[in-house]
Amino acid sequence: MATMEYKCPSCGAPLSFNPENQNFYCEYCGSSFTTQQIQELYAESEKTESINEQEVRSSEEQRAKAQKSGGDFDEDFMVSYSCPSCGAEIMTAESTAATECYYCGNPVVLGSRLSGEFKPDSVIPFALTKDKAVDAFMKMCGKKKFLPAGFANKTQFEKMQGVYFPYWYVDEKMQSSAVATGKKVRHWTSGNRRYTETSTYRLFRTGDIEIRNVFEEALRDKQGTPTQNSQSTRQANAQEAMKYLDNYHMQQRHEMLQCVHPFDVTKAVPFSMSYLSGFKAEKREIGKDEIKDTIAERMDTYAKRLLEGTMSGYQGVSLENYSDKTFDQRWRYTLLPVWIITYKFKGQIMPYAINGQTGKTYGKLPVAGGKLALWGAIVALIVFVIAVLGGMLFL
Amino acid sequence: MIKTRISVKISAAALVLLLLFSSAATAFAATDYNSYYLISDEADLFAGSSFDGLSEKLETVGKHTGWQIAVVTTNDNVGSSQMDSYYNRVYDNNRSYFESDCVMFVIDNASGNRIILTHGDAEAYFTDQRMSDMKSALKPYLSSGDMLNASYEFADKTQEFYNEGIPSDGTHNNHVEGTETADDKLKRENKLLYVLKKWGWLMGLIAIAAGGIFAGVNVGRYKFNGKSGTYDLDKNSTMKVLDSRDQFLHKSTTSTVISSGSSSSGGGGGSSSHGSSGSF
Repeated sequence: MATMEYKCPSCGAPLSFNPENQNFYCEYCGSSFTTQQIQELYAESEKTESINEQEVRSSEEQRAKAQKSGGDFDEDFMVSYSCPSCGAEIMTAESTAATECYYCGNPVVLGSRLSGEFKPDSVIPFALTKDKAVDAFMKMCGKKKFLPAGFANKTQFEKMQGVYFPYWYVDEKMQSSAVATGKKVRHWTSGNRRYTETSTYRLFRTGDIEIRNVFEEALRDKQGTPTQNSQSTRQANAQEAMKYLDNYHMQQRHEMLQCVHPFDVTKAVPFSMSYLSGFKAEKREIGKDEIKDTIAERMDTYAKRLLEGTMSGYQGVSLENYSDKTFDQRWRYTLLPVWIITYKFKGQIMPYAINGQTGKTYGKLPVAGGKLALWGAIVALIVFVIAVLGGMLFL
Repeated sequence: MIKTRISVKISAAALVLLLLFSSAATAFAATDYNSYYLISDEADLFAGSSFDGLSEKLETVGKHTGWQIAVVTTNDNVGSSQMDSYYNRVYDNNRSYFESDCVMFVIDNASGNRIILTHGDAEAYFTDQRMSDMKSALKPYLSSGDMLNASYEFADKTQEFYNEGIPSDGTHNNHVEGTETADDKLKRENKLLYVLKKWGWLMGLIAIAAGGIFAGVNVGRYKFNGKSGTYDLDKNSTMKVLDSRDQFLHKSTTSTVISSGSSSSGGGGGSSSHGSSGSF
């Protein structure tokens, strides 16, 4: 499999994208380069990567065939490639589009997986460095009073990896019409009688609506339970963080990624492979066709909500009829930056996700049972004392 | 439908109020009374022969003072802490029997509690000190169960207080003494212990529930650490309204009768004030 490697034009050392300065920085000679400079320099190489699109297509065809015949498709299908720096043979998951060599640490982009129809339209580059992501995690832990002693400790980070996750973003322009019934209720009193007047109206609304940035994850469900088998090939290739996440229950992974939203999509830039250098990236596994119904349903829901918003002043609004006509729909395959941390605590590996743009952190935290029980008892005691004092005053 | 529902609610509320007040109103019936005296012997403490003499005595004092002198015996079994409010309510609810200026000697034979209540002009004469004097004077008769002579003594002391006039420095704090239940006594002597003994179990349960909720909420917050990023429709949408029409279909009007709601306490005699009382 062909790979892309970004090297410092000055000294030839591996180059990684620097989130803090939004440029490329060489750790060896200290040179920095703008994204534009690197993109121009590697424009030719990136173009040749598309030749290998066939590799990706064949794997997609294999998946489609398996699904059609009801056969199994190995979600954990491994692909090998040669590290362009040290020549070692490295295995990656079928969906991996960028990673680093386990042996020499060289950042490598598997460009062919992000070319042709799999080429993302845009990417939100990492804005948070690894250190700042750790700080965000520590800050979140600092606010939690019931964490076990010694939990928030930088030395216990098992693995930390910046990952670009594939998402579909959809914009739609439509004309929507709704017919609803609503009620206006008026009360007044005359003599010893209270009157209630209910007027019923039929409400007609039509509007030109534009809904932007409706998003949906483009990674497929991975079946099975998380495995922590230390003998697996992938762990041997130091993909522990992603291996754990790859095999994580769909619900858990989806929840983790969902909970680090929102991303500021106005900061998205046109896709360039160079942004992936130094990070791991997942290519999309879900096409438009698979989620178009879900997206259409959500668009309808949002459009109805907007139309209902114009029916203020009415009570008990009930939609009787709704129709819409789509004028324009634009899909953007976008890569979103997320730091994935695996944290080892008392022999258990816990995954956390940090928004690579805003620092929003999510993950299940352990609870110090003793500390929480003590505070629960203190709260109970306080409530008891207040209740007794109240009883003495009012009974 | 609405009308019916509200009417049912009003009826239910009226029934509750009626039951509440009837407990203090239904049982009372004066055996003998006029504007200077009243005897109601529900507990049957006075023999027929002694009854006339007592009536005469009370009427004499009543004419002398200008107050209605009342002796009321009951079997209501009212706790000592409730005597004051309970028999003031009896007074309020039976103003057709009672005068505005009135001194009542109530003997609850079932609970063994006694109380003296004053109303109107008499209030000012019955200071705390005089109430204590009255109690001391009645004590020998009450302890021997001689309720007739206790009533005579009550009438004499009342006349004595009237003759002495209104004290210039008297206090009129209500004080409750006499036969008490164990709970009432504990409540008076050690309220903390009373509250703990009587309601401690409930407060303990509430406290444990509060502690449990606190722990549960925190476990939940740690387990689901962070809120799901919801889609911000307002920020990500625009709409240009092309057509907005509201077509009137029909109108309906319903009405409900408003109940007067404000139930005035007291009978036909208008407002009344309650003076100092002594329960023993």
